[in-house]
Amino acid sequence: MNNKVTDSLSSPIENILNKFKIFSENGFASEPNWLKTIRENSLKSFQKLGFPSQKNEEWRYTNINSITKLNFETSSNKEFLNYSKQSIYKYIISDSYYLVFVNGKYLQNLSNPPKEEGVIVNSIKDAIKLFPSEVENYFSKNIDLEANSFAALNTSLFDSGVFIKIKENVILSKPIELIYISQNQENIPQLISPRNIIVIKNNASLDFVEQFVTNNSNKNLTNIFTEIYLDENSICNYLKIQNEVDENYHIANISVSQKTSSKFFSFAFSAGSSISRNQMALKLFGENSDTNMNGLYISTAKQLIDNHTFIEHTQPNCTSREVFKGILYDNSHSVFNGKVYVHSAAQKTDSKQTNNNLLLSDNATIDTKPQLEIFADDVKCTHGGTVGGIDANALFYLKSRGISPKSAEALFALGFASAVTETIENLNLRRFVDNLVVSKLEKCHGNISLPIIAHYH
Amino acid sequence: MLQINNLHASISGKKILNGITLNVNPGEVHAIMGPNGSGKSTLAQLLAGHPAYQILEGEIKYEGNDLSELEAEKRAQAGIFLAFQYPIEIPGVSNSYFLKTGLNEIRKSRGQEPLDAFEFLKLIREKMKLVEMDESFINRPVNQGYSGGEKKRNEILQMAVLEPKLAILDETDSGLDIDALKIVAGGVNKLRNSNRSIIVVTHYQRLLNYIVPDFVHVLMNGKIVKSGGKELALELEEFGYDKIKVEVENGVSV
Repeated sequence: MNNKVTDSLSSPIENILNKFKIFSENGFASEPNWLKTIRENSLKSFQKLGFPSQKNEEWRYTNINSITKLNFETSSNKEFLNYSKQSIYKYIISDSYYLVFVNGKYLQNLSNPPKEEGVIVNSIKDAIKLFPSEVENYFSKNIDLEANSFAALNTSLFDSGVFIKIKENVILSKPIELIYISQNQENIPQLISPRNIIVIKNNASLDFVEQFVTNNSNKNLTNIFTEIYLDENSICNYLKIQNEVDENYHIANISVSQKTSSKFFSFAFSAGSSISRNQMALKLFGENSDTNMNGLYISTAKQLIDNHTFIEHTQPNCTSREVFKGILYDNSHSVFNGKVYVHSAAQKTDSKQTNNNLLLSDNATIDTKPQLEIFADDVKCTHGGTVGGIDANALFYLKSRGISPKSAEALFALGFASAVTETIENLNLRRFVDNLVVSKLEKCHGNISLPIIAHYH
Repeated sequence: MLQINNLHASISGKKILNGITLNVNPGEVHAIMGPNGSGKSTLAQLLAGHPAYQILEGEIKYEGNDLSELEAEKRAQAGIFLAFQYPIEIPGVSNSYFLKTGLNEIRKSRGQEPLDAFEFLKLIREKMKLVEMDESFINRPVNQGYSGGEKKRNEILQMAVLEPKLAILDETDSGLDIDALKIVAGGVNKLRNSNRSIIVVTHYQRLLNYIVPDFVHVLMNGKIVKSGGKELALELEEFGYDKIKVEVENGVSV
């Protein structure tokens, strides 16, 4: 019995080792030595760590057995010709620059990269060729690859993604949107490993979107790693939309480093994939920095959606705010684990973390674990979570105005969701997310029509 | 319009109403007064269909039909409206969408065409003038962050938009200063007509200076112990509920 389990676990990892061998002889051969070393070390880490099991405290509620059994192919050389402007139109957020990727492969003819002064956008591979030392400066600087097996896996195998740099004092006029389409390739599950590095220099500002979608059913695993570096006095608004089909898998590591007086706002919308994990680790390195880390997850059917966040205050006078909300249907399972860590030097830290869950099925499960670890004595830190159904008094109020119970429940759920989506400042981005929320809820509540929320006025 | 016969009701096993009989005809305004805990709000919520209350005995007839089995939304569609004592906050849902959904479901149940966004906006703007509400409330979340007075005005706005046949105002005066009270009462008075019945539930006589009732009933221990004209409210104001309590105990009144 034991042997059998080991067999089925070891072969996909061996498969990954083989992939690495092939890549290192071809694709990676021309890369600079520092990167080769990191890739090799990362592979060793991954080999050592394996896929995380539920014995690992950080993965206690998240069972990824079905991922670890798959023998993934890596699809770097495939050409995707069957995409038209029309087929991607629905993913484009109005008034934005966008770059389209299919199974990690960049589709230049469908993309609309920024052409403004002061913005550098390159594929990560081109950036490594063109300015290797710049990439090296920002590569894996704020992550422990020996402790994070998916980030290690990404680092050893990544062959796609972008390097974006916003130069000093540049305020980009439109958001940059990365659209990642996951596609079925001959029914073989693909391992897609994009690596993004986003650098925002002093006094610069960027609105940045990552959107993950699928155009057909597949069992692909997207294992993305995005690093965001905010220099002094810079601003980054980051929106992540995970709306892939329900069969596939999504693991994301996002690491954020903030310097003095920088502002970071993120919103993570998760509604897709059979298993997904959104793991954000943010470090406040400079004084007077602000962080807002918000999100909404809607899990249905047998989905597992996991949001894992870690905010680390290392310097005084920083503020962090975190609000994650979840709506759970059917037999789904959602996990929220949010840790705020305040170092002894980080006096006057002001931190607040909230996780609210709306359980709309007796068979759905939520594991919520807000955590605070404080080593400074002069701080203001709170955290809290709620789990509940639709408030009976609210339901009665809605019904007493003639609204049917079905619409009343949907309306309540929409209100619950929009109270957090309204924190997205850019109205185009907010409207896009609200549309996704509305269509998802219309599906969940069956044959009702919901409004587009009126919080734009 | 409304006939209540010997109504007994309870919540979570606790009996609150002990045999209420009340008859309300179209166009009449009835005030129901009583001390705290007398069952006023229970009666109001029960008429609107709150699921927590259980009818033990007696009946409620609305336009000749038994009301007891009807869900809250069906009652609203049939023309019953409750202005809540404590209006509920619904974060994230705009006032206008909330009301538009309600109005259109009510219209649908009557075989009328739904109003589109433009028609509804015109309607709500017009009705907002009745209670002197700022137009910013159209897009604000339902009752969230409103002052006490704004919440009560919002209730009357909803009444104005939904145009009920029977409106029950549950302590609409509580928490209002005199200016807000005048505005709210003025809104209600503009909605008075010969077809619409109104039940005003209140602890104090003050509101009845502005919404002058045709009949006043005193509720005690879940029972109407005295009924009369508007002068009964003044009597209560002068002598308090204690006098009636003594009368009831001595078997003088009823």
